[in-house]
Amino acid sequence: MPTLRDDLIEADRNGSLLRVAFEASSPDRHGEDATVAALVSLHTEGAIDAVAAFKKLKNDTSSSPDFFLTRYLFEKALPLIDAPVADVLDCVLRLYRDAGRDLAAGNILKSFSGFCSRNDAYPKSALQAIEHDPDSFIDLLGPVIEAGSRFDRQFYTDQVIRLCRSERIDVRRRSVYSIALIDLSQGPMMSGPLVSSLEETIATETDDQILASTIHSAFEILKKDRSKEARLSTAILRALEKGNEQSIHAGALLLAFSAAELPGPLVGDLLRHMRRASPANGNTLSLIGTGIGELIKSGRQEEGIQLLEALILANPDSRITDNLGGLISKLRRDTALLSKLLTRWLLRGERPLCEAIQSIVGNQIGNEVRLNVDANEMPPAHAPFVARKAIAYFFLFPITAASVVISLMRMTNDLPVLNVLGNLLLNPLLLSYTGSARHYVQKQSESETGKTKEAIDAALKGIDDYLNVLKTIEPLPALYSSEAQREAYQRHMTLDMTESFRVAEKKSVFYGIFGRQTVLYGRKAINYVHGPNGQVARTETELQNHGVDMEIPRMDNIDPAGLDYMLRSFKVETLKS
Amino acid sequence: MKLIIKDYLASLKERGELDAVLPDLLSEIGLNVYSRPARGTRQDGVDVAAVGSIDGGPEKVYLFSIKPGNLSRSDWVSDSPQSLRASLIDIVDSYVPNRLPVEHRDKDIVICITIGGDVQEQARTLITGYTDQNTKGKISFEEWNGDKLADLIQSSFLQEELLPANGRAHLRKALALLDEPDAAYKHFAALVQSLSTTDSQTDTQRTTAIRQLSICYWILFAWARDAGNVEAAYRAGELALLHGWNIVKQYPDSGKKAARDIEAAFFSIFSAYQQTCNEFLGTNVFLHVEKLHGVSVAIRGSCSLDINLKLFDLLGRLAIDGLWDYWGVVKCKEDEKELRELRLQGVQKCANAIRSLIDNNPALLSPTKDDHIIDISFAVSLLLVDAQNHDFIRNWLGAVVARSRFAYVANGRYPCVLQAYSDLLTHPKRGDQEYRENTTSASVLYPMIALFAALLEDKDAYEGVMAFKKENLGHCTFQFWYPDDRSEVHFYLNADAHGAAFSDFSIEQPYSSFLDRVFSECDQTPHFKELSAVKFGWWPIVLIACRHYRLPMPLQLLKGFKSNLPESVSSDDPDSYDVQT
Repeated sequence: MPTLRDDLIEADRNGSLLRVAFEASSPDRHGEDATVAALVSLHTEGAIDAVAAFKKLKNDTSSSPDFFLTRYLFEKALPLIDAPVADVLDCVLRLYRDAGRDLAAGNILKSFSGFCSRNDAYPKSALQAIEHDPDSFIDLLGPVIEAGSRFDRQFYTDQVIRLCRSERIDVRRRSVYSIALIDLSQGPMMSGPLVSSLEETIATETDDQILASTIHSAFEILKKDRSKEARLSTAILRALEKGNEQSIHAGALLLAFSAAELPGPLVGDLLRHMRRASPANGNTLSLIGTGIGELIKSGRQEEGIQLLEALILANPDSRITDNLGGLISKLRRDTALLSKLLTRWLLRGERPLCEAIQSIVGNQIGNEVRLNVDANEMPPAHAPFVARKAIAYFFLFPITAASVVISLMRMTNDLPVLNVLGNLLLNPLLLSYTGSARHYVQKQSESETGKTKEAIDAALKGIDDYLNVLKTIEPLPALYSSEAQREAYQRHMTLDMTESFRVAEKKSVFYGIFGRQTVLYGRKAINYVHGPNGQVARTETELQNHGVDMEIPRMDNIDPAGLDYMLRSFKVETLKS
Repeated sequence: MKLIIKDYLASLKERGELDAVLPDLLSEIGLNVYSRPARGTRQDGVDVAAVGSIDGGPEKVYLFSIKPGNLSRSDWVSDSPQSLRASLIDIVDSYVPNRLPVEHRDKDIVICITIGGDVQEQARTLITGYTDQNTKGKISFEEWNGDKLADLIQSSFLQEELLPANGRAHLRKALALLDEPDAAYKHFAALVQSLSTTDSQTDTQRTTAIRQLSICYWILFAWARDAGNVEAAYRAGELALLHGWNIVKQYPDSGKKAARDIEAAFFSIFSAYQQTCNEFLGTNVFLHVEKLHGVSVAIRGSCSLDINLKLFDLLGRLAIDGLWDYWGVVKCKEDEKELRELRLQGVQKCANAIRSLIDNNPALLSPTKDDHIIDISFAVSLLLVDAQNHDFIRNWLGAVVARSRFAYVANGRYPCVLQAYSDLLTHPKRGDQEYRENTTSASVLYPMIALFAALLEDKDAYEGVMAFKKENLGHCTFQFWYPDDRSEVHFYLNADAHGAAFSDFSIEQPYSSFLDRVFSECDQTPHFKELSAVKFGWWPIVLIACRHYRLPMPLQLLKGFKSNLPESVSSDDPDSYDVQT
């Protein structure tokens, strides 16, 4: 019976080594480790040339096995084999570039670093090759410096500092980044020249990518050598000041994942510069969101809130909150913080902040959030102002708006203020939503006491009286719109709904995953499922109704312009000092 | 057809209805009606009196005592002096000996018990007993029930030679489709059109045509009222009145018989129109204007557009009703103080209803169509009558300007020149500046508001329009409309376009100059004064035409207001607001 080795040798002969290796690595065959071991031993024995074979791997599913899974075998084998450096450079570079912008693209560089660590001649040869043909190989500088510094730190420190002054910007970019890869773990600390090089680079360079790399490298050195904290903090700050989006992204990375390791004052500087993040850079914002979440978790809540506010205000027409990653769901779970933000931002009344809290609350039709204000964040006298803002921004979610108004009522015993709040509860909320919001307010009234209950009950009486008067009006067919108008409206609505359905369907994640069938009659779908061994099973699938109920605000029919005017007035109103 | 007519007759009420139709019917069958019903007067049991020959028989005097609907035992005899038996006794004992015109005293007298429906069995024997007992000498009795009246109407007004088959078909369809007022109106309009083509007709043909118009409209109204939906009848009434006017205006000399007959038929249409207005506004508007959002909700619109359009329509109707009352006030003679007071109350009632309608239905602050100014103009004209309304007008128009401008800037539903409902449904189209400019390319709304503001010395509203024009509506042609030499021909039938637009003015000037400029144009165009409705003192007909055919209100109607703003309307000051002709 042929062994794995036999299979691989045979495959190498007929040009199918990669496919056979890939299939053999499957857990139900030989598995990854056995396949890698076989590849390594066959390469070492000279039975196959693994480097030459993997050089042919292409990121193209039509002609090659799975690119990343197959490349993974090579990534594991490379640090364990010996081969001519030039061949390895070619192969690694090809596999690195063919991976495109995939997050796993750089994994091969670590393996290459491992390969270079096998023999001090490897990094030297590789460095020569890179310097000889930087256009081709500059991407591989980092692993070479990293591996080389393990053999001769001084030499490679000198080399990287020299390359940081190269005339070629692509060389400088890679070199500055590679500073962070110098192995400082062994022997006496020798970070001084590296720090100086970074300082020099920051002083002379204007390229954003280089400046971003200086931030990365400075922090990596800082982690290893706290004695240079002051200089490195200053260097990072300078780089941030000079740099643009990429530098800010580098800073955001620090904030998101390493804030605890940063000197306190540097965190403040970072936060200040994060405000400059562009809404177009979703990844940067997501990192900043993570960073803010970490700040809040570590007890630096105010600093986190201030950064959040600053970002929102600096980008008034962008939905920054959509790009803050996991931060928003964290805020939704933290009801106390959510109340604080709600109160603070509605009280400030600035549109971007109010829209942001609207977005953060994340109401969904049929599942409206109940909110409370934070009494510590505002004086009771400003309750009507906050209520108007809440109504304006949460108008489509009347239960949320009503919950804010009622929580404001609880803050005060001042009768005029309560009257204003009660009137706002009535108009526009209850007047517009005689269904869900009225029901909510009625239920809420049962659990309230004192003047709050009185104010709520007065509003409820107002809406009951209003509706009772309207009920006295008998049907008046003479006032109804004509048949032609009703039909025209139906056509208009049908077109609108069809279009919105089409747009929504396009956005649906299911649209691209599943096939689509249209069933014209019946309540069940009959299907035959074909099993692996030719057996066929008949299934009946009960069709389900899916729908969403939404209450349209009555006032939008009765007086749309007035309602619009009122809500916009509430939105633009500013607090009189 | 007869069943339709019978049904109609049975549903008529006495006052202003059955007794309004009967004289025309009698005239049409060849009798000479010498006494017609007048409000508040009843001549010893006689509602209508006529003389003449029916079907070639001898000339007789016919005295009609009218009862609406079916005749029951209690209608026949009760304690009320209005009971039929009491009326017949009055006729026999008082009218015949004392009030019968001298020239007819030698003729046989037929006392006609006239009822829209049938005599009920319990009353039958009582009536027969009474008439048998009192039939003596020249006096005899006849029963003119719904069946007989229907026969007469069918054989006189609606016979095939006079009202062709398609005309009757239109009437039947209009009646069948009363629940769909648009369709009913279209059929009735086709009928009206076929009846009122009178240019080459004789006096007799015109008389018959206007009587047919009247009876058909009465039938439509009665059926609509029974169906609980007089919307089609309201619009049909306006049309019938305008077409009726187009006939009656040709007979300025009421001395001639044809003129008298045509005038009588026109009054019959007018009477039915008034009944329709009362029924429509009484049922649909007056009862509900005090209720917050009451009328808006009652409209049950599919969308806000339906509510908006209907509210402005109702506003115009209310205002027209009040202006008719005001017209009535001005027409009252010195000795008609009671009637005058009644009509003043009507003016006040409509003005109050307008205020309440606006207060309680805020969509009236946001016109969707530029031509909503027609309805606004009527309402303002009525409210202007009483100085106590002036602040209300200022606030209302100020809000209209503010909201319109807000809607325009915010790309909400700003007033536009679109007319088709389907276009209005998709209005506005956001983010399309060209569309916005096209749909606001012209306006009567804003200059009219500026005009009212100037009349009321409302600086804020005037400057509001001025700023709106300057900052947002530079592309919009502000204009006024004046009747021209073709207006008299086309105003009442809307057969063709007429009038002239005046756009050569600026509102970037003090409002006194603006008023002078706008009103001096009234003097440049004498055609308003030449309109028959104005000449003959029936100026509300012009307003009906404006409302019905969606034309701006002629500014001449406002001109009088310029020089003499009234403090308030009072019964002592009947000319405080009158048409300047």
